[in-house]
Amino acid sequence: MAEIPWVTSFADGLAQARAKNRPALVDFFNPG
Amino acid sequence: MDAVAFIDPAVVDFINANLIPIRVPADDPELGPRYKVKWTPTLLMVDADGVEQSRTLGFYPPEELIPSLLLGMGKTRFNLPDRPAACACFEKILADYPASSMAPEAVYLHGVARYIETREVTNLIGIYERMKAEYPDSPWLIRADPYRFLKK
Repeated sequence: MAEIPWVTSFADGLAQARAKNRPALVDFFNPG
Repeated sequence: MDAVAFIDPAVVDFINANLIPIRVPADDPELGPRYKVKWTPTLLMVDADGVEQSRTLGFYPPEELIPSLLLGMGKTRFNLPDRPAACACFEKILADYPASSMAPEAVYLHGVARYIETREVTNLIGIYERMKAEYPDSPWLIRADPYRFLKK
């Protein structure tokens, strides 16, 4: 099954966004 | 979202090809208050500086989520400003998802971006004409209403 490779570190995600020149999609989820 | 949209193959492919997906618990003590997250699911599109560019609240099925993400990408590019790249996002919504609830806003923003780039008033008039022809029941027709008085 296809999966989204979620980044769990916000800072790391922004660094990847800068490196790849892409926006970041931030999913604020209910931890339950 | 996990049970439907985020396991849809088209959604997964789209996100992998275009975005950096980050997951944060809504009760994160630093990021929750910073982005004023009050309910889930909340999806933000942010730039590399962490500046919010668009936000959605609530569930989106796959056929609405992809155009919603395209709209967010378009707004992000629009604000850079990289309006040609923004227009490409809006045009993809209109070409591939014309029945989506995001399409009328894409018509509006595409026309505005084109107007800012060219200063040709036909782009604003075109917003109204296309909205009236293709999305006459959309609230975006009201927002475009003043443009019907412009002269070509």
